[in-house]
Amino acid sequence: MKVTFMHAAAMANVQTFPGLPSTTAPTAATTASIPDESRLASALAGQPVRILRIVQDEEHAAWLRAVGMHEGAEVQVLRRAPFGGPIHLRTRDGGEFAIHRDLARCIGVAPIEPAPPLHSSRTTA
Amino acid sequence: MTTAPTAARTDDGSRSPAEQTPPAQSVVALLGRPNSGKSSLYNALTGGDAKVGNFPGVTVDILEAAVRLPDGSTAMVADLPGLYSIDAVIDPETDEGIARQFLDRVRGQGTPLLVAQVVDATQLALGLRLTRELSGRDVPLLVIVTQKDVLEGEGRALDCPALAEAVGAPVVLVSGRDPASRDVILDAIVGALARPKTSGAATWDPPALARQVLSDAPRVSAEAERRRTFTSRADAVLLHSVIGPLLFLGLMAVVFAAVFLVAEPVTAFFDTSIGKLRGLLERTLGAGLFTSFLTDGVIAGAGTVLAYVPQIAILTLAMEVLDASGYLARGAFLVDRLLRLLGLSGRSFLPLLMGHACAIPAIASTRIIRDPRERLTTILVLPLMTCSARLPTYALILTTFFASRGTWFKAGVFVLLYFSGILAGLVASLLLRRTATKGRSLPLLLEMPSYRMPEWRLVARKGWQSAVRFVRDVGRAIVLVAALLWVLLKVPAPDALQTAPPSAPPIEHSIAAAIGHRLEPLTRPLGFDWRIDVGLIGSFGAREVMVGTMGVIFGIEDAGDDVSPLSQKIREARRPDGSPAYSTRTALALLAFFVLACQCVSTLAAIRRETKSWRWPLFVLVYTYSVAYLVALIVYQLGGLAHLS
Repeated sequence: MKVTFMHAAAMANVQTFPGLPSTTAPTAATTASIPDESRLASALAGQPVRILRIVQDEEHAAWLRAVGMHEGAEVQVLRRAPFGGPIHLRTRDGGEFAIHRDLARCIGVAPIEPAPPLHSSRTTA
Repeated sequence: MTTAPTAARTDDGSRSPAEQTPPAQSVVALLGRPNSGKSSLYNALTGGDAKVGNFPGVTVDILEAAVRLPDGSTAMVADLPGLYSIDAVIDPETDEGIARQFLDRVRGQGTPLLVAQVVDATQLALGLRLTRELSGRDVPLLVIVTQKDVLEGEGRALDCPALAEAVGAPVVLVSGRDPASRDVILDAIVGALARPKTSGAATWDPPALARQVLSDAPRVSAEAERRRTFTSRADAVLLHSVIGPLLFLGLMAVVFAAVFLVAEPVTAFFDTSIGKLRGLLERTLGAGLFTSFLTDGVIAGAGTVLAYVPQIAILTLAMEVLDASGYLARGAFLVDRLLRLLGLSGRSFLPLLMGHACAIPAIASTRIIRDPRERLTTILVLPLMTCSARLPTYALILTTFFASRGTWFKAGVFVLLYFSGILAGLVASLLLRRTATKGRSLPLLLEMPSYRMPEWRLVARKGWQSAVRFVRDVGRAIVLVAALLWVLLKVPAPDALQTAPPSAPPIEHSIAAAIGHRLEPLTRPLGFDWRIDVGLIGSFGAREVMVGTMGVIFGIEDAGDDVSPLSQKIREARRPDGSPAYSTRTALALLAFFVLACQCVSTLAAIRRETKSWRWPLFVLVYTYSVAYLVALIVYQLGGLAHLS
């Protein structure tokens, strides 16, 4: 498969959305399919979870994949910023990221039991 | 052989003979995640030689330098911005988009291109995600794995042939601190450029591959583990929900104070030096119009430029240290929620805070904001923050019109003025995000890197570079405008424009006075007469000139040192009909005008430098002056309705 770099002009044509800033907060309709208790935004600090689904457009999903957050990946919430701020989490690669709470609401997760040490060599297919 | 597009010009369009190098026969693009050690590797390869490439429309500086390869050819090594992904591009102005445009352009020129990806061996799995994307591209790839010394120190090894086999590209393992690394990398570059490219869809799993190629694989790098343990412990305190924000605010206060306080002695020093220079010139050239042009126009303008340099350097150093140590991301994490109220993110906090000292270094510091639209928004609202140059005018107005009020009242008004600036910024930011800078943003994905010691040499170099570039790029505009304003204030207007009697002080015969008289009908609804208009013309270049200009108009020498004689004169000023020229209403309208108007050419020049276009500085000029006029008008008219005298 031959993949070439997208032409700059084509990139400039990337669709823009009217109104406020980001698409990190999809409409209620698109995220309604994830029950509240199984969103990454609601995961307990310290509890390793597995990502089951990501309700995002392809480009944002690609961003998430690039930092190791894809369906099937393990992540662990480390802490939350005060006043509904971002969520600090660690991926299985050992990378640590802060993601916006709205974005975390679009990620469906399930707890992993029993909690294995995050950096263990164990592959969890 | 075509010349690499990157080799042709520096960003000011010229190049000195010393920089002449043979045309580059290939381009080596250094690419990697942020914090992968890319910058120090770039320095090792190029010996720190760097100039900023000229890329139309690209608002991020891409450093590049010509390097002679072992086979005798020359390669242009370019240091691309740190990025996580080359496939996921949301906006062409993000670091990712810029890197991709750069690669496109080089390929379009037909110059042989090699992508050299820098990977931190202690975070191999993270780096290999990007490798997987790059190996699927139709472009030669070289993987440079750094931190060899750390691996060896732990008695571990990287199976380079196996890794090369898996990713389909040559791999070298080096240590950034080892001088011998340079030759290893240059040899590998020659080899990789000659190698035919076999591209294919990569299917391997980065973490699995990382475990496979590192000996003693199951164990995570001990260095990384040690760093992570330290980071976890530090984060428990630094990101604590109560202690964290307090520490952050304390640290910001220290940086703010350093930037703020450093301005005073330096400006004083330049004032003294300029005074001496002026005396010298007057003795040699004789006092006259030309001498005044040199001293009050050109040299004073150059003094303004130099006075900003220490602030810029200190703020750049602070930002670099915070960024390189890993703390900047933590600060952004803590205050992100607060900045969301303005439609911005945590990364904008530091620039906005620094804007309260001076907008010029703050605008330069917006480079830490990754999202291009957010960065632009921050740049556009920064001129509304209450910078220190507004304070002399505020003080003059308060002393003049609220002299009878107590200290607490005046202090309260000062605080109110600061909040007015922030409020104006909030409103402007929310409006801009819906209009001029609307559009998709990057998802908030903030990497929280492990804490590490900054490389002081790199930090110092960044500070030095930012100072040099400021003088070069922004300085010219400031000196030009200073010279122009001198002409307006000092050169007598032609007779046809004269309105003042021959006995009036020289400034009343100036071009500025002629303009001021003609502006009067326009500014009368705001309560401003021609004298205030002249002050506003004088302070177009820099707000702090207001007090001095008013002093000249009212015939007070050195009004900046003690404002009480000047405020006395202003209170006594009369209209031609004998009524008082100014009232509390005028004072409030003038304060509103000063809160909002971007009376600072240096800021405009800095915006031009950061956005690489005249569009945005013009936009700031027009919007701030329009809003300032409108709000001053409303304040003055409402004051009339409220029977304020």
